[in-house]
Amino acid sequence: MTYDLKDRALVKRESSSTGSYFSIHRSLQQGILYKLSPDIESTQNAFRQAFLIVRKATPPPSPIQVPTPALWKAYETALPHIIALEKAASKLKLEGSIEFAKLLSDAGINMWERGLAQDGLHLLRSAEQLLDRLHCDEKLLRSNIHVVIALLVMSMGIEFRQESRDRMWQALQIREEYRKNTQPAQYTRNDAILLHNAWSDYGCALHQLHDYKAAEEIFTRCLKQYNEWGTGDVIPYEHAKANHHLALCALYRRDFSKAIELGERAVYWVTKATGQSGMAYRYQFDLASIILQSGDTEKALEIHKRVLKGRETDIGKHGFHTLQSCYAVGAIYDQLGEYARAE
Amino acid sequence: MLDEEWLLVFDNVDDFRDLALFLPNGAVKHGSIIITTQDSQIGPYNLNRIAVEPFNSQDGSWLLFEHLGQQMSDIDPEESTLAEEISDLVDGLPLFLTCIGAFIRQANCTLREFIDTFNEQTAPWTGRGAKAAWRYEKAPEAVFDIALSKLPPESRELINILAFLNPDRISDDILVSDHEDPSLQFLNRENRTL
Repeated sequence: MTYDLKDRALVKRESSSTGSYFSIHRSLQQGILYKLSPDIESTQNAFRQAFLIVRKATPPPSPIQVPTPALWKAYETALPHIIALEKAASKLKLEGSIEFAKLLSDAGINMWERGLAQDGLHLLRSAEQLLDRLHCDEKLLRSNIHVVIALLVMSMGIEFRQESRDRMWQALQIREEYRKNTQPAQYTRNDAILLHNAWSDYGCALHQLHDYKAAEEIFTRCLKQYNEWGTGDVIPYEHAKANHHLALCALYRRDFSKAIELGERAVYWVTKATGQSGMAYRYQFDLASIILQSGDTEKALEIHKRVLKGRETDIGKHGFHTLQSCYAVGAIYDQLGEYARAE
Repeated sequence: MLDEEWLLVFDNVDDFRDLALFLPNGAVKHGSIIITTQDSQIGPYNLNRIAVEPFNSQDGSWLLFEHLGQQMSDIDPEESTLAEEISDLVDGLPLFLTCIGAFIRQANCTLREFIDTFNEQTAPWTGRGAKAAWRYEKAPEAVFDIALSKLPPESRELINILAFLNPDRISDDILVSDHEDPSLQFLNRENRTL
């Protein structure tokens, strides 16, 4: 089959230690798409086949929204193709499907895990627009998209905080509505976890708007529920989140020792749940920031430097979160009067 | 770093917005940025644009003969004239000359036969709309029609799929799998190796 394509110089074959690959000239791709496009059925069929291939290569993310670095390798293979599919679908104005929206959403979630805010946001907004065009409710999928867009824009500056809170609120409403309309026998533990995640995420949005009092009440209620479900050994990620958020509330009350205790507990559970992941580095970063506020500059610097090194390895020197760490380390050197190092 | 010389290359850019995050905001003092693209309209107006010229007739004919595995010393003048005519037909664009070389070799046809086939194929490409995905300004794309013609159905189906994927690195592992959908059975692991 591929002999003909190679022999006519339509594709190239390359091999590396990780396997064999095709490459195809961009101009030929565009030529094929241009020739296909008047025949809508053939175009849709080829797009659907390409989508099915990419979908199969893309593992679904955690059903309870736990960052999963073990899936990153598969996503590294699939993401360029997901982006290419999205571009082609947009350019050719293809109809798309709910399944395609789900694929875009999964890719957006993975990009959020890696701190690739702009690309992730583009895919998630594209998934949302596709659902709108298809006039689909798909409320649970929309809820997931709301949450991740809200988390992404939360880190993009204060102008997005209102959007972040509104989306978290909409996601929460969808989850509450689902609980009310679902028979208890059909309502699973994962559903309940996702509802509490939605509450917790809404609490985070309140954090961003400095309403720590309301947020602390929400996080306390969530932690109480998590404790009823099991210890950190059973649901470590949920315990990590609640402790992390409560640590920031304690910091706001200037209860530094409590904030550090909760922050250390959060780092322990998040590492247990996700390994040395981007989320684990984020919790360590926040712990270092709490420790800095408590006055222990040396200890804060030590943790920030460790996080910076880890992020450089994980997401590169110019990753958004790496630069955030770089700034934090520089700011502490500045505070210590070590201006050359700070610069 | 600020005082060192540097060069930043973005190869084959589709959308200038993709670069926004990576371009320096201020004046560039010690470095240069090269952006290659097939879109002559891409980017802000103040870029220093350098059009990469296609081959002239003679250089194009040499490239064609190279793909045909022929030494220049063995070429008779009549063949050389035909090769130059082919180069001119596709505006000296190396991608098309590569495809033509591969097609002539595989179809075992003469240069004259290829020119006749090409001239018969040109018509369908002439009615392009302003919003076509196609970017080349001229119409030598009929080469692709010829190259794609008479492909076995499964090869044609596969290349249509490849047109939707990222062009640079399409792994065998994602193409050949245990596909459940009937339309992808021809790519099932048990049926073939690529």
